[in-house]
Amino acid sequence: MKNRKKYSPVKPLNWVSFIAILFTIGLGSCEKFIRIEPPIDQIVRANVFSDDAAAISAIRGIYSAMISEGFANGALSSATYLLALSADEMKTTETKFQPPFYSNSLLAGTENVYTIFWKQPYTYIYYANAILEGMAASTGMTAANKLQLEGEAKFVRAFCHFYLVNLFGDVPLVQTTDYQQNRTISRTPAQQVYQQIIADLLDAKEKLAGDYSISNTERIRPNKAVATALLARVYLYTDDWANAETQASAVIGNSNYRLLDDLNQVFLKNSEESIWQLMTVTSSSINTYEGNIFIPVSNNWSRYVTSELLTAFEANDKRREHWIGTYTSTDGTNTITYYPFKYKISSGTTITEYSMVMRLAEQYLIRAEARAQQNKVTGANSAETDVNTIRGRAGLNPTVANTKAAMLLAIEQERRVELFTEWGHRWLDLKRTNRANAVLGALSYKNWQSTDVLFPINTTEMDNNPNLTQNPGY
Amino acid sequence: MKKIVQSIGTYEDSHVNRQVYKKMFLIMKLIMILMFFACIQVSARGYGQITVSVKNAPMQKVLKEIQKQSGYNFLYSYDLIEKAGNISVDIQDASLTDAVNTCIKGKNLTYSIVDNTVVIKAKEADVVQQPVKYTLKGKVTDKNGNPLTGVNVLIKGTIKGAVTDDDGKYSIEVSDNAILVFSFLGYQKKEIAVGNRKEINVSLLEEIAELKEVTVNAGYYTVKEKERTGSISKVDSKAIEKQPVTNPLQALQGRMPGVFIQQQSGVSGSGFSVNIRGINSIAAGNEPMYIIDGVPFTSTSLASRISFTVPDISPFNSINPADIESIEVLKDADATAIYGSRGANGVVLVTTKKGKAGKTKVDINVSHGFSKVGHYMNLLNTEQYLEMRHEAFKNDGGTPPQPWDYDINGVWDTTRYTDWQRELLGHTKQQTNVNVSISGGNELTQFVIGGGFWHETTVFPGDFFYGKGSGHFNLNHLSENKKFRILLSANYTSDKNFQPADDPTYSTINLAPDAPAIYKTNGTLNWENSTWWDNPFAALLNTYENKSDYFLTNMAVSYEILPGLKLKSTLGYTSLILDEQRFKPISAQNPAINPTGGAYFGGGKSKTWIIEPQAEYERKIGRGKLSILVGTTFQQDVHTGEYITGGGYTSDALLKNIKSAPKMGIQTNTYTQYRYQAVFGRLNYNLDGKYIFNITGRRDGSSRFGPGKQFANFGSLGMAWIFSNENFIKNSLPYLSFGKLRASYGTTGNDRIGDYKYLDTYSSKNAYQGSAIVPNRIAIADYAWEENKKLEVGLNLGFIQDRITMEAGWYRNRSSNQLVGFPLPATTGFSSVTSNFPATVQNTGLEFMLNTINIKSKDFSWTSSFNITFPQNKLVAYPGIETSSYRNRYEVGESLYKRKLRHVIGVDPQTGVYIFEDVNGDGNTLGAEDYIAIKKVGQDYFGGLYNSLNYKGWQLDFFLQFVKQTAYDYRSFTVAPGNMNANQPIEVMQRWQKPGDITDIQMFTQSWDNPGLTYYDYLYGSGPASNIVVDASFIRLQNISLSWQLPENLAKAACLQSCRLYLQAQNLFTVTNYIGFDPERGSGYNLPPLRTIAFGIQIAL
Repeated sequence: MKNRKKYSPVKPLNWVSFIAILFTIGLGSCEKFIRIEPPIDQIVRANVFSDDAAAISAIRGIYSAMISEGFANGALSSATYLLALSADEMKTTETKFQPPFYSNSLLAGTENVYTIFWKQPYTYIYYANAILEGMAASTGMTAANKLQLEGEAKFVRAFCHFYLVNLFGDVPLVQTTDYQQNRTISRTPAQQVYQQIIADLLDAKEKLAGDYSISNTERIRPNKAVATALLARVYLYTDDWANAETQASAVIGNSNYRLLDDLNQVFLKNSEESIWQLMTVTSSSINTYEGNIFIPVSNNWSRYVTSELLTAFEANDKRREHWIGTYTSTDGTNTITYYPFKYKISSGTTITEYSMVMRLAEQYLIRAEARAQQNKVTGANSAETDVNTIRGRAGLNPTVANTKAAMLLAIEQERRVELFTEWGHRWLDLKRTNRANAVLGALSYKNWQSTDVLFPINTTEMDNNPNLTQNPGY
Repeated sequence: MKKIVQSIGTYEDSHVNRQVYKKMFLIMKLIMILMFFACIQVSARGYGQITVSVKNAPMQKVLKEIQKQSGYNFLYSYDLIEKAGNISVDIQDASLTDAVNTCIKGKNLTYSIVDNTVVIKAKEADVVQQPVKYTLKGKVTDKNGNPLTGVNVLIKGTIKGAVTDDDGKYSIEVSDNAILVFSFLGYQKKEIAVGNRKEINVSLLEEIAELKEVTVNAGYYTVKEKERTGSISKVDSKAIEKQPVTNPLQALQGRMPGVFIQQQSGVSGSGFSVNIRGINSIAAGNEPMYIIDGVPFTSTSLASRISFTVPDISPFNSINPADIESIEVLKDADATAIYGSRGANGVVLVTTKKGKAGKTKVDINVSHGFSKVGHYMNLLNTEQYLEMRHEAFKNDGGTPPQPWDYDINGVWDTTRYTDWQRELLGHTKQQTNVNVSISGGNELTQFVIGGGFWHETTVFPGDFFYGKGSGHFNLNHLSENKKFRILLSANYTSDKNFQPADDPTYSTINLAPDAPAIYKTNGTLNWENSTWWDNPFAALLNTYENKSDYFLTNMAVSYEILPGLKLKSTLGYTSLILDEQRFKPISAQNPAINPTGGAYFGGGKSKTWIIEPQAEYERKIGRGKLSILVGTTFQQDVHTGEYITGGGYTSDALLKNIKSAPKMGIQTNTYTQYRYQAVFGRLNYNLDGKYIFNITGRRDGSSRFGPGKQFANFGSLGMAWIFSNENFIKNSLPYLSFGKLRASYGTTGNDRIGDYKYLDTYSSKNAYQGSAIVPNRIAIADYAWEENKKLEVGLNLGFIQDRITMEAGWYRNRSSNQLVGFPLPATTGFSSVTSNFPATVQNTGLEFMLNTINIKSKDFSWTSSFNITFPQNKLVAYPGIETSSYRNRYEVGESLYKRKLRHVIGVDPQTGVYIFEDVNGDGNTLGAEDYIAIKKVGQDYFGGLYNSLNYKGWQLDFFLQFVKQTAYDYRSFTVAPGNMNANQPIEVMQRWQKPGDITDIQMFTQSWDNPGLTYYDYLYGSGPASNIVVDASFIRLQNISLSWQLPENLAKAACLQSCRLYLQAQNLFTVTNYIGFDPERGSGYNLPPLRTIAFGIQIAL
């Protein structure tokens, strides 16, 4: 019996060592095996700012996003269209998303307010901040490009904050990509937001190139004049009349820009009147979304210009003739639809129009208002000369306004018929001049309350950020 | 050595107590076994070495010569060898064993080899009595008299045997006291005492799967159903075969406790959502892991979402249900911990069919079926619709219908009535299914080759269809010495799904019943002078098609290097390719707008390979059996996807060519890689068939986590006590045929969070004068695994020889360190960040299953099976929820299925619009703080009842599924009653009409000036609100199957092995109070499940 042990044929060491080897191979190769390369369709952030080319792609990414997504693209969910509804420029028969805008009955849950006017601008602000932070750590970029990109990023940040502060009042001022900080950020007083916008624009103005060489002479990326033009607008909005006049003059005096006599050419791509345009990037036959959504191509077209805007034009105003279109239905009822006709192309594969963000005419009207406010109402270098420049192009007689108050009203009227359905100018004007109650409150189809001048903060956003508070009236 | 032999003899002679004898005998047996193993080893080494040729020489001399040549020592008693006398041998180049065998042939000697020593001794039998040897012949057949080839015929207690030939015949040398054992894979073993017969013909019976023999597949190992420690449910091919379905997941609905399956749409090819034991994760995936023949199978749809007609295209369509042998679902920690990080949501194992030994058999199954929409909604007719519309205008201040309100302003013919549901969904779908398989083999090698073809039309008008062809191959081989085994399987499926680009189901409710005629008298589409924008038949010209190719192959090789120790490796590869096309032709658009055509091309590829080397060891220790399994996994998945659009086409003929698109854009182009590596093990000890311990563990590494967080350990302990094997139970509870108590506890993980989430990266947008990129995400590199702790207790009982069996289980899964896409405010730039949050989610539940054989007689049998699950879900803890994004969605202590909703008090009897409760009293009833009503949207319990009746050749099966649940009602997908061009269910006629009316349907309205429209929007769109959560419970006759087996003699006469005719029906009727298309998924956007009736014939040649 004592031999039993000796007879045992199973050598435990054999398989134990085998398994041990197996385990060792397994464990040893573990770390290496699961280390994977970054995906081919993504670039690691550190590499983006290692050279000029990738970093420039990052700034282009912002404009590509802007023209593809709602806020800045001029389509059905854009500032251009929705703010035209909120003001008194357009109406719609669409039943779902737009009506709360034209009847001014927005709710804290209205999705478009959140996505279009809040989420998207803050996303672009994040993109801009990411570029600023990425470049700060970069050593591989050339100094010239660094300056240009820093200028553009700051411009974009200012541009987005400008719309946010105008639409929502006090808004969180976001200057970092740190999500922990931005997650619980509180509202910043509007005045402080404006201060930062001005600081960003002044800085951008310094750093940006003077011409459009950065974008192959196409007017599709901000340069010094673009920053100056927005700065003029911001000074105007903050009642800094002298600075507004100076900045507007700088743009008007720039030989790159001139008012075009032919109103049908103003919105062509890279027109001399344009200061900043966004180029189309879609693969569908879209020149601009504005052209696509405004120009009727069938009966029962659901978007049309209000009678208020139609009647606002003086007789023989060329803008009424060239920028308002008429469509007669073919269903036998001969219903006529009036529509914004600044962009002439509904769809087409040859691209001749870009979406206008800023143009020279606005600068004349900014300067006119700044001058009027400084009591330069008539005479040389006065509000009158600027207003008449715009009126003259439209084929109208010089203005008869000769007092400050009359001139300001004349400017409001001129802004209305010059800048309609462009980036919500009318809505912002009525708000900043405290005329919204009087003008919009008088319209029967509006469900107007004075608190409607500010949009509601979204419910989900407040769920996600406990420090956010709601605007009055919601 | 002599002494030893003698001493045994002494014990035997002196009749000492039996126990000592038994013990000794056991030890001897053990020694013998060990010797036997050693012997095999030696034989391998000693082959072809020895040459001895002598005539009439003393045996001792020959042995010495062999000792010299082989180098082995010899041990024997001289007396014994001398007694054997002289021998004559002629050994040429023989192995040691052959040489020794030749020496001692006919001498009543035996030998064994221990280490390097050959021990020779007297044959034990010699001591007893010399039996008479003779040759016995016979034939082995199956019960139908077909010869069985390769049957093992063994003399019991020896290794002597024979194998049957092609005609099933065998011959073997036996002694008359021998017992023959006939064994054959897939057949019951048979033992027959020879007596003194010269011929023994045997017919073997096929193995019948009774509970005690049933084994379940636990993934890396199989376990006897009776001895399993974990929670595993199984559905076998018999249940799947009876259902006329294309997707195997559909065949599982209601059949397994704890497994809840929902069909996304009635359109062929659509996905199913599968949930095993509730929602474990707030935000990460809750889909189980799928494994087909050992290879992980992608459960995520590759669809690029260019069409929603076929929601979440299910990769499972690529598995032909006819190729499936069984589907096992692993639920508790004991069963799933071996899958580590991937097992948190359970594991679904699909095993395809394997060949069976026996005569080559051809099975053919052909069926044809018809399907229709099971249930239509009861909508308003034209008269009621017009009443609603006119009343809406009256309610909105009496403004007359506008020029664009064509449905009531006189432009359209208001005497028209079209039942759009029947017009658009009313066709009968025809389906044809053909499956052919050839299988066969012998005991060592089996194969099956199968092919399937499926074609079906749709219920939509037009030439839409779904078709697929599939092939299945499986080969099994075992080497002659039974040590080496190889298994190879391959599946290939190619399918094509051609459907309308948009599911017309929603149009059927969203069209006015007085809408114009579809076609003009000249046969062209009617746009009614451009007043009818929504001609649904124009929409049907927008088509969508997808083609997929699926290939899976798996190989497993194993070799038994030592007795009980097996080395094994599986290698698997799958590839799934999906191509999608969606077209928007010019012909589908109103010519008045001079439209251009558009095309969308999408698709994806998924490629996975896996290698899993393993070692298995089995050994008896004491009174128990120990099994050990260790292995490692190397796996890689690569997914690619793309989506390209083409626009501006001026001719429909060019649509299919992206190159002819005037404008083209690449929308997405994605690539993800996933790598996974692990070491795993299992240790199982079965003591006496009564106490079973099962320990499993895994160490996982996944590329989905950032550096330093890639590895984690998971493990579990399972125990079972088969108390029915205890004598005291046997004696006291004789009617209890089986009883088992089992419990398990362990951890699994969840890494279903998508790839690269820890990487801070940029990706491309449309080029903006050159490439354009934007950041992808906010990345936190140090998030880690979500951990799931599972506890389970179960009881299995069998009564009256297992005629009644039941299983009851209670489980508690606690998932913590929740990996969530934590919602962020938009001020951060993104809507969420992937991160660990300290929430703990608990799923508990009771599962119960009862199987009974109600009647079992010669001609008639009736069996039933019932299962029910009571799931419960609770957010156990969430520190800091008050300041988190989830504070208005979830509540600690409540179920994740519960929603915080606005509370609708009812319809204001004065104003006729919904009133919401103003919870915080701020005057605004729709504010963020006004979510108060807590209602559960989910299941209270669910299950199924299955009955099977057999009478001679007839078999009737029916299966009832029942679900007690709540869901959103029709108001979740309809517009406010009164709005233009949208029909409504008949229930809206109970609306408020005048002050004082008490009802829960608000007034008809069509204008945003009426607050009613806004409030309606808050019922769901911007809501949801409490009053649209309604009871959506149902009982459904999910399946009924009637079949008739041709009597054997008739089948024989037709030269068939068997023939069966059958009639099957799916989703025959549903009992429910739910208002909508179907309570299973309350959606109005997708085609509801169809009712199908199919008939067919199954023959075996």
